[in-house]
Amino acid sequence: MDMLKNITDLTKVLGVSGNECAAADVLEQLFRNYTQDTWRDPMGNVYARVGSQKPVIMLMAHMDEIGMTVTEIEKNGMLRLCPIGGVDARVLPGSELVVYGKETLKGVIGCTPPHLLSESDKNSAYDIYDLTCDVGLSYERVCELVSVGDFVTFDNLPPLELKNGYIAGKTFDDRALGAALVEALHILSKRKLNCTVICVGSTQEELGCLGAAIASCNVKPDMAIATDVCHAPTPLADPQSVVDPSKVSVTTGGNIHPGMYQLITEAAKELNIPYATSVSMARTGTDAWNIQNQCGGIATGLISLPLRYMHTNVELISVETLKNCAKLLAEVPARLGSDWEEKICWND
Amino acid sequence: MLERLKVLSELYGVSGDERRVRKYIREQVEPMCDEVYTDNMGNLYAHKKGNGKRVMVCAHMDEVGMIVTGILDNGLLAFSAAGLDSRAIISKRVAVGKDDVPGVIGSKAIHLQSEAERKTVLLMKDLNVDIGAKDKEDALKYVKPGDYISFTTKFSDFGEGLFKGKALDDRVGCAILIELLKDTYECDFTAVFTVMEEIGLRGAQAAVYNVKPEVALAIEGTLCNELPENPRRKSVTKLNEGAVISFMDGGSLVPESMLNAIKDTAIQHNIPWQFRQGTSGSNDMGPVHIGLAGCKTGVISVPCRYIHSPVSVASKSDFENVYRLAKAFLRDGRFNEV
Repeated sequence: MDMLKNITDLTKVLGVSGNECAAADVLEQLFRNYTQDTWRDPMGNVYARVGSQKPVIMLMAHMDEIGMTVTEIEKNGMLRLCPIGGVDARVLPGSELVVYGKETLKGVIGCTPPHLLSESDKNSAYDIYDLTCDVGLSYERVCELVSVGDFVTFDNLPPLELKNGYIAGKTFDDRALGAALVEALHILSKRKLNCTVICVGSTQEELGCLGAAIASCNVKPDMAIATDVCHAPTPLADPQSVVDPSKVSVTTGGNIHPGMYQLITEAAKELNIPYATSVSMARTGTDAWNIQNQCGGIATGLISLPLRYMHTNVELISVETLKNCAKLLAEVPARLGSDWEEKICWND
Repeated sequence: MLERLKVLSELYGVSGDERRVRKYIREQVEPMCDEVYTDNMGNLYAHKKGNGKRVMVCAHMDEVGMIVTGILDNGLLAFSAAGLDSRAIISKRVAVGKDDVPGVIGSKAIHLQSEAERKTVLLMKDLNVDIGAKDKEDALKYVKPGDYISFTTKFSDFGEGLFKGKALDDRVGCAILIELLKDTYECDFTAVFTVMEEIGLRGAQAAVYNVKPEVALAIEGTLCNELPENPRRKSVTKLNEGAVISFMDGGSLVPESMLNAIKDTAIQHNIPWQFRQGTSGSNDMGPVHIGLAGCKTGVISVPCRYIHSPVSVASKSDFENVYRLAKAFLRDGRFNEV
């Protein structure tokens, strides 16, 4: 199993929220290395199953990514864009993009050279609606190849390898955890299980965790673990909102069943995986939020990978920590025994 | 010429650190010249001896970029920059120092920003290069203050008839100038690949002293701010409309005799050309035209969209036409008319 190769394969394909097909194809193919029991649903979610006993535990990572769509084609052939999900317009000037028209086109978001900027220009942040995407084609040619509504993403370069096992690239939110699901499935396929594990690649998380709700209704799991990224320390960020990138984040709070938190942290201790507890009073901003309240209530946990510069094309993570996420994701179901119900019972 | 431009564009050569570019160009031009030498500032001279006027043609080797000014306790690198808009460098890949240590310039995630922050410009001092170092001590194993930082944009075809890459300002000029050296001209010809143009037209000031030209020409990559809302006076030049001829810029005024000589060359050879319809920005001819006893200077440029950002875009036909115009100007001995 080559984690970096899987991440490369998963992040280079288009999967802007609502159009996750290409990402789903790659993820399903990777799942099928370890189980033939895979399927899809009408929402676009991808499923892979190992094991056959009670309880059913669902492990989830979302496949969609933030991106942009074409809103207008200007007379000089340049494109105007609007965001899908939380795109920070301030990272766009000087960026390379991929435009998914009839053909896949290279794009560049240009910016005015400093020579031509007034002081007031320099002091105002770019707004996405003012930026233009250049595809280097005439208006007529653009109209043949690109339509309003076509998807646009950051340039899909392979991850950049940095020092100490860190990598930087696009869409590690949340395809890195997709790669972790694949690795967890790999580990689980070699273990004797007293449960059923269903790994899910979910859709439309960035638009409000929509796929997660549907998947939960389809799977009706006894317990679930959502996986996502959380913030690692970055300049100007509140130290209370971030987690050391060498540790797996395990969340506790209203969105999380205390029994699931217990199961996850016990497994981490067992495997000697460094972890940090993240506290979230209410909404976690992850699929966990829309899993927890489905089907009369699902015991839900959340494992997160600390990531710097979220929603940019230089999202930065530790591969080692990601591998630990995968080990932990596998260990929780692998340790489940006949007393599983006890573990999530409210012994008040 | 385009193959060579790809190599040149991808070489790292931030102002003050032109070593890689100089080494490559020296290898390319040595077989074509009588003498190739450098001066104490780092300019590279390629001399083809001849009778007649001393003619100097300049292209600058340096590109906009950054330099490490310090390392923070958390292992991030602080930097300063020249010629760059801080708004255009966020979320980009970079290479640091002699060993090309990979890094990225990140910024705080949108989720952690207040409404007001989203509308605030991040300044150089708010930004850092992240190489994945654990802390300051770890970072110092790989990089140090004074290391130069370059973007790592790959050169490639773009759209139809265009190409994109970093440092097109002025590696287009370097590629053309190397090509010009393949020919012979009826003059004492020196091609100068200058340093530190982007931090104050520095190299050219030494070059004019060393060459003492009577006529000088700069080959540049210039402004082409073709945003949809911009009229011609704001776009300055247009892509695919030919070689750009300057009448004046922020550093020099082109004498009428020089302007006519260049323009007439273009017309006579049916080379598409356009005026540089704006006067912002300057180039090596600024110090050259007032160096020593002064000399006649002109500028021919390739229009490049988004110069001084991590990625710029230019046209193959414009690139070719600038070469054709410069070559015709020299071959026809037009320098004798100025």
